[in-house]
Amino acid sequence: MKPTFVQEINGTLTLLQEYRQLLQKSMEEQPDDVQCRDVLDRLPLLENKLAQILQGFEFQVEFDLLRDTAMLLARAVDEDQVLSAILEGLKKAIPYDAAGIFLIRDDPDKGGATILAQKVLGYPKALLAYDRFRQKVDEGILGWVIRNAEGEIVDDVLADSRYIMAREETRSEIAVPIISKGDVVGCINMEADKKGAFRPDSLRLLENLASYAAIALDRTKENRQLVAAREIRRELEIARQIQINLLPHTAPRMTGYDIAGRNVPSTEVGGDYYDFISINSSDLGLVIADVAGKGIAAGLVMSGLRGALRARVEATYSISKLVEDVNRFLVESTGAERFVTGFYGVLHYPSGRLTYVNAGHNPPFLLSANGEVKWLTRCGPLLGVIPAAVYGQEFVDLTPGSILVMYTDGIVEAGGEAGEEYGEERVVQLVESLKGESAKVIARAIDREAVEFNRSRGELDDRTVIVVKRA
Amino acid sequence: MKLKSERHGTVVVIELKGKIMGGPDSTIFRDELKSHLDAGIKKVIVDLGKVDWMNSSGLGILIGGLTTVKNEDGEMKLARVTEKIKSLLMITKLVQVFDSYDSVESAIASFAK
Repeated sequence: MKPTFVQEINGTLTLLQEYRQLLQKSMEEQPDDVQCRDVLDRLPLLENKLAQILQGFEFQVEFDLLRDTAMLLARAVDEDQVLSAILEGLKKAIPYDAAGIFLIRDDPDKGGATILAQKVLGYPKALLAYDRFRQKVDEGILGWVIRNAEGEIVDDVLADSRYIMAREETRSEIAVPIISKGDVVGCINMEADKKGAFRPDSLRLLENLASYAAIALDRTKENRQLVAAREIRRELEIARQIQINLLPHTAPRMTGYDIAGRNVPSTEVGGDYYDFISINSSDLGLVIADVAGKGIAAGLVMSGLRGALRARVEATYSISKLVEDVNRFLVESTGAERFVTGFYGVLHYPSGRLTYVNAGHNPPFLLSANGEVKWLTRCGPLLGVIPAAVYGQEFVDLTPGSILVMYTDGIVEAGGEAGEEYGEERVVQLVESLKGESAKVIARAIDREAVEFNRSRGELDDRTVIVVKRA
Repeated sequence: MKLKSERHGTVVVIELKGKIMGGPDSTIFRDELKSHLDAGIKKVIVDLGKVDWMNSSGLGILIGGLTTVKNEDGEMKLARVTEKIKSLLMITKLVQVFDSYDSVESAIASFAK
């Protein structure tokens, strides 16, 4: 096999040493040989020069390896490429017979964390079969290196009590930990068939490479997390679409009435619910409800509520009984902390009479043409908590020119987290000032004003508004 | 939300402070309740005097707490309910469900009857 540059230089140094011995012997025989003395004196210079060249070369090899690895790290997305390049490149810089990059994995069925070979060169194939190259994280030289977060050279593995044999031929070993964000996540390990094959200098090079390996591993983990996050966002978007379909697409039209509804969830999926239920040609069911909490969990309860309510509307004549049934359904299907506040009313178009049950919800108000404000309160507790709750019903008449406004607490509690709440009074004043506008404009204005009032002083809740104007 | 417990004989007074908004607060409160219930304390008073603000999720915490205590044959009462919470309890009609007292002392005394 062709000798490497290092071997040639070392060979030359050895030759020079033999040459020195010859010259010294010659000097003993002929002490006055000036030329001989001269060459002998210059020999150290030659040896130093050669040693420098060797050092420079080794330094260059290390430097090239580090630079190439860094460049690869900058380009490569695949951690595998980087780890392979590190192992291959190492061969030129530090001769070895077997090397591997190992990572710590959580292995509950192996009794805890283990070290698993991620990339290896030179180990017998049999060892790489599933079970064989896993060892417990606290065993062996690798275990020591990981536990102490420090590199280690072992000149004679057979004399070291920590050693666990993975490869029969190994006599010396060098290993450094891979440290990512302050934690030891694995190690780089090299083994040689002869004793004392590794020098302390090599530790420094290995440690630099270990930090590149750490970066490559981090990047892969982050990419995986990004992909997972994207998946979740996609699912949320789908859930949002499903939920949008559960809410009214258009408001009901009836001569003499102007009706509008508006819902803005605070996250992709919200816990507010509103509905217009066409009971028959002269009766309209109006629903507004707020599931405690936000997000998917609240959204799921909201769908259940919608289903339960709509299913019973046709079959149940009495509004009170309907609400009592829905309450029992919610008690059974949600946990102790989950509750729903809701308002359900039936508007009889011809007379303008609204018969309703308020189940613990923020009281809607009716603004009459003469400026009077009536709050639709009373009736019963919130839904989903008290199994046998009883609900009474009330009624109010929407006289010509009156405006009925229903809302959820996302509107009136806006701003509350940081100080003053938007409050019911402001909603009333706003509606009074916009009396002449359409229901749609009024609904939108109520939401806009509440959001403006909150002005990023806190998180906004889900917000819903229903406006019913009678001409 | 910050939480502080004090035992007064067979009654425990849990003082809540700050903003109660649901989320992690709920686990904190529930765990605290459980630790007292496990120790055999069945009389709980929740002191809300230092609560800055509570929204509907926060209300859920109190409701959940009441259910937890009731399931262990205990009783939970509220003390020093602020205006905001009082109006929440009124709207939701939970005034029927929760016993509230103006001071911690009167709440403790009510257990003696």
